[in-house]
Amino acid sequence: MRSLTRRAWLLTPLLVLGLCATCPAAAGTASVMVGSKPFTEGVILGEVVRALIAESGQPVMHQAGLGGTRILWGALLAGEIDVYPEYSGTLTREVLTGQQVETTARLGEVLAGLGLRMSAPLGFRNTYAIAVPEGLGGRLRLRRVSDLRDQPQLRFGFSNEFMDREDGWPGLRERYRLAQQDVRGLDHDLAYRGLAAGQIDATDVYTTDAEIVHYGLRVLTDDLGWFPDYQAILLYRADLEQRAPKVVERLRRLEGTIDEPTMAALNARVKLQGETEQQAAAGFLRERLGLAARAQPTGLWQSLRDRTLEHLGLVTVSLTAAILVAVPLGIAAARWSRLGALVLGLVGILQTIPSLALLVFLIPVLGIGWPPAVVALFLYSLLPIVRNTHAGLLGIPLPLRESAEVLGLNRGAQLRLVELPLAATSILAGIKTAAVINVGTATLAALIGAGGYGQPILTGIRLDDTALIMQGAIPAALLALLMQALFNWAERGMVPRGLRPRSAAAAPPAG
Amino acid sequence: MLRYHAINKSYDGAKALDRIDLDCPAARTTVLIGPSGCGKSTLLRLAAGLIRPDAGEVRFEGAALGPDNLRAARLRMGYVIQEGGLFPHLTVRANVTLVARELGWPRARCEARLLELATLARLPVGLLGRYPLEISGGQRQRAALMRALMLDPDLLLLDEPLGSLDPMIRVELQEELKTIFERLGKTVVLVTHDLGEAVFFGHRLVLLRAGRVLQQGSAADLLERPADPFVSAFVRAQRGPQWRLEPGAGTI
Repeated sequence: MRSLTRRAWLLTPLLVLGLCATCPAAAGTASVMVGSKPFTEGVILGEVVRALIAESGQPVMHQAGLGGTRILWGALLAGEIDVYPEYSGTLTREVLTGQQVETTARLGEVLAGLGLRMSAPLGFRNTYAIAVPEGLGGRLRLRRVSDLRDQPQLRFGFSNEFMDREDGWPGLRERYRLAQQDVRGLDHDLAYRGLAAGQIDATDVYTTDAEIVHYGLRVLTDDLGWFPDYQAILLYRADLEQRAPKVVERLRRLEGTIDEPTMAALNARVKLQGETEQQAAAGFLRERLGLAARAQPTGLWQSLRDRTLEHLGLVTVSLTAAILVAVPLGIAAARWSRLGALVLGLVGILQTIPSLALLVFLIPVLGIGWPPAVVALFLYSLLPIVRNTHAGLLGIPLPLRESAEVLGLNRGAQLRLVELPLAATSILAGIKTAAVINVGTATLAALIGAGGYGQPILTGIRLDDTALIMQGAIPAALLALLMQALFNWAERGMVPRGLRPRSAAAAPPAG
Repeated sequence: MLRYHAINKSYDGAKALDRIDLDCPAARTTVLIGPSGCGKSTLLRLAAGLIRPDAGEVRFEGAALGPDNLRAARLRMGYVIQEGGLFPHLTVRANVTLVARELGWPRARCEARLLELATLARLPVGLLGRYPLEISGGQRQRAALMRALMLDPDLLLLDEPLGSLDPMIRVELQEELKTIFERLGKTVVLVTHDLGEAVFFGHRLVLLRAGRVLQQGSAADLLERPADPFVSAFVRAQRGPQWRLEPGAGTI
């Protein structure tokens, strides 16, 4: 019993250390927060905005590559971020559906009603288009989307988002009366490789994709005008005009400065020439706006250290909270069987919510970044611990439970002196499972700007850079192993000799 | 000391105990005996407060056992079950002194009582630091008895305490237990299905069948003046093997 508490106390400072390691709020009091979407163009634009603001001496931070339109929109409304690059078509077609936004003036009105403003177009359109390999296009004389109608044998591979969106494949098929049967959804980056390998014949592209030139693709004209106008703009909070009028002034300087070839070239610098988004953005600001912007490269070790602290922080805080809540829940569930069924059912349902969906649910309440990530990880850690605590307690042989009762121990003492120690192995196994799941799921925190090892992984996937993916994946795996080892060490102290299987073999002969 | 008054108890509609009235007098060993399912263990579990009667009451020293006095009563009872019920995660020492320490006994008092009991139960002091799985079955029952006696209880409840031991050790422990009971003058209620053991321990034997008391009295009463054909049959069934070898087997 005594060694149990001693080890538990030894663990506490470790957890506190983990807590202190985190506190990302301490990272600086940026008065302007820039957000960006999780693809190269978005991050480059976000970086351009950040560098432009920073150059004026204004403190600014960039939450690069947040999980998607929904997350950025929610974060902007909640004031978690102040500005992010957006496309007008996305706003009218996806975000403000049901509001009948037909004109730019009307769009401005609707946004103003929400406390938002929008810049004039930055100068380029990034709209959907359908592209085919140049060779195939030449052979079949494909020039316009309408030409596809005569080639029903073609195999289409569209990005998953395009497959689902109303202005994507479903609408396109109807508008052009396309009859192709072999249509599948896949990752946007994989679609290019599929085209190159001849596994699909056509895909959706963004008109500023660097890959169009790289893979030698022919973009088909949208002759029936189906795809909406996706003008790149900056979306920012109206209160920025009062808080930092100079910042707004700076943002406006970008209007009309980036045309399609410029954007495609910036994309190519990152995707094809291996520059970082910071370098590409700084290059643009130097060359086009004559600003003395320079990218400050962060070293591998520096960024590894930062990512590790962020990841450790997420894991320790969420796991500690989960242990503190789940063990008592498991005890209550074992004590009252009706409540138990309810609790186990609820935490089971929590586990089935897809992690990205859970994060999106949490954003209106908790904003982006650290709080929703910790809460999501906390919720995901509950099930294994609750279930194992419950099972461990119910698995104690009845004679032992009754012996504790008849000895005259009160309910609390029965639990503390007999039941919890006997269930310790099972409870710890649950905590270990939760820890491993937690370390893995925490990589998704990068989607909502909470950092961690997910950051290099997501960026690596986006840039198709295996080395970068490994920079996140390997430390994450090591951390999972480390957690496992830590709990194994704790287990040796918490599970007494009498319960370890070895001691049975060491029993002396009967006598 | 312990008295059952008009007890009814059913499990899922099946009657386990049927209007039982029974008195277990102080400083005596009462043995509950009968075939399996006769209700003898149920009676013991009622005394320990592990189950509640459907009707009637269990009186401990004159007061009916209820939720408000159960814990106090349990501190004055010792309880030993077939496998001892020792906690595998605690050493013998910790098992025996568990409740005393919870009650705030000073360490020296705990240790003195522990050694006293080790002598009484003839458990080598060297084994006190071992875990239950590291000692033999007989030693475990000695340790379980020590734990039951730690607070010097007035009532000892023993549910087939020797049932899982091999015959040689069983006989040895029977002798020792009887000596201990006589020396301490405790009220003992012992459950067994073994007639030999019942006769050996019991001042009073209570024979149960299907939730009812068929006969109670001394061993001689049961053996010589069976009140019911079942009592005769039960006695006959438990005669030792040597009896079968004697001429004239099959008659009493």
